[in-house]
Amino acid sequence: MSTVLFVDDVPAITSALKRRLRQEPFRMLEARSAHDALDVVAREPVDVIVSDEVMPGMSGTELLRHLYRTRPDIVGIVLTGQPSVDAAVRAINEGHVYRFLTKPCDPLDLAAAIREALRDRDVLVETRKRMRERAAEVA
Amino acid sequence: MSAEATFPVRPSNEPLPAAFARLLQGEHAPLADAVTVALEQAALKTGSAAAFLAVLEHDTISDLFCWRAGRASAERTVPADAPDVVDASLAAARTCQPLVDAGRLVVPSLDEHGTRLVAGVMGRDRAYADADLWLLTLVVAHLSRHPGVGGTGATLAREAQLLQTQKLESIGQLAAGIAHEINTPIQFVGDNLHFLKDAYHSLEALLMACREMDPVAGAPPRPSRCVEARRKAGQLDLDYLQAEIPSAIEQSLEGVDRVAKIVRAMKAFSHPDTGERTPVDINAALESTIAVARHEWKYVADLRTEFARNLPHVPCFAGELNQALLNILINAAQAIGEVVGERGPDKGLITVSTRLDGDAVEVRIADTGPGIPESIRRQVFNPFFTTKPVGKGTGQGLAIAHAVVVGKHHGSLTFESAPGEGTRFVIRLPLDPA
Repeated sequence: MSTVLFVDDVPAITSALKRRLRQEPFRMLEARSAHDALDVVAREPVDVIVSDEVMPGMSGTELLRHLYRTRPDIVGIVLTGQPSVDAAVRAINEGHVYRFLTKPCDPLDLAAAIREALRDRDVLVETRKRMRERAAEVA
Repeated sequence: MSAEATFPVRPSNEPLPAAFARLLQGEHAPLADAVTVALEQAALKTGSAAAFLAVLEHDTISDLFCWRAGRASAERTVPADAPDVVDASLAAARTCQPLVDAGRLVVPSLDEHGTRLVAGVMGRDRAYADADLWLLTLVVAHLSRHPGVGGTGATLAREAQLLQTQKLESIGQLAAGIAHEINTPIQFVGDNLHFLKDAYHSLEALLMACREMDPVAGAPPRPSRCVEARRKAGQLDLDYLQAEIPSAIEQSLEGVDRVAKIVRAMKAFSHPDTGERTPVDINAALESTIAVARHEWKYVADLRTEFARNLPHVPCFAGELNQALLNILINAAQAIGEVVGERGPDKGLITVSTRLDGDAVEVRIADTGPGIPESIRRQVFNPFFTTKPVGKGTGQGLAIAHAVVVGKHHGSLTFESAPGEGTRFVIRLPLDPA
């Protein structure tokens, strides 16, 4: 079964999402901060991360940018309550997110995005690997 | 190449140049006429080809007059041969220093509220000297007293406008944060209600089955129905529902409470200005200010309140006081943000305390930021003075706070700061401000 990690500094958000999506065919984990998320990723298999953007310490985009380099096998989704064009541009260009979603978000839309992310994951990972190889060749 | 010059001090016994007699007499002339006369005199006296005057509103130029040799009046245009007039004027205004460079002399006018006007002369073949600086200082000082730009009435109106503009700016800044503060509970309250709806549907099926067991009061339960009810119960994860339903309800109630609290705080904070003093509960004013600004501090700092109980109410202009408290609080959060960003996930601490001290209520807002360096302490309350990068601060927050606390409420606003440890702002509001 695939695993989705929800990252949000408000625990009520992640626990409510887990309740709402409990019948979805994936396992769900929670983390309270980007640093917690890195710990989880280090010890558990994770396929998709759904992260809040504005959090104390490291932001969602920073977390996903870091993981894009160290764990290209994880697909990132941002779910933010403070959307802005600037935040979206950074999430896409630096965080390489698969989807940029805003709160309040219908969990069914989120579930659809997660299912699509899981569906496209292999292709995305393969593409990232090739891009990396090409970048290495050019360099 | 430009160099900073110091203000020359005019010897007190020296008579005013005769040419300024006409200027001073013309104090009640329309602004454009007064400016023309003043600029013409400035240009002629310093042997310049052109003179200009920039009128500042906040940190932008709202009006620009230019007089050139041979012209009868000053024109409201940027001189084509000196496109950097605007930049030079703003630079002089921001540093509160005259600017002397190769072909130009620019002097800002200062008063206790900050820079209002910037005058300049240019187009002379030899360098400007101290005598020119002195003359131009006199011209700009004279113009700043003109009712059209610097008169008492205009000054008050401009202050009110400045306060209003800054208030709108800070509401704009807060709005994004408040939206986030509201969107977060809306998200999880919505999710929980959907979950509760689903859970109820599941439980309803079980409930129906249970009722079927005993359709007639007093009759024995029918075995076939009991089997059915057990089957329904088996389909449900009752342990899960029993654990999750109460916490979904609890979290939702907390979420709704949070939204209500934010909305109440916004209402209390945006107290309409009646133009009159009303008795204000300072602790309550701080509570609502802290709540509306929560998004500004919560990521960088924990906030502790130490409020004295039974504080007497203070006669205040409530809306403006809230604005001043907000500015100081945001300043504290931003100061901590400077060091927390470097330190990583550790948060700083903001401590807000109140106490009765003699005939005044004292508010202390302390942060664990980097402290204010000795070299800039005298400038902290100056309008436009900021240490923040462009776009992050306009340098007006603390200036406004000072104007509100000292100017409007006859209180005092001071600070104590230790580099590396933090800063504590102390606001004293007299109980009897008369």
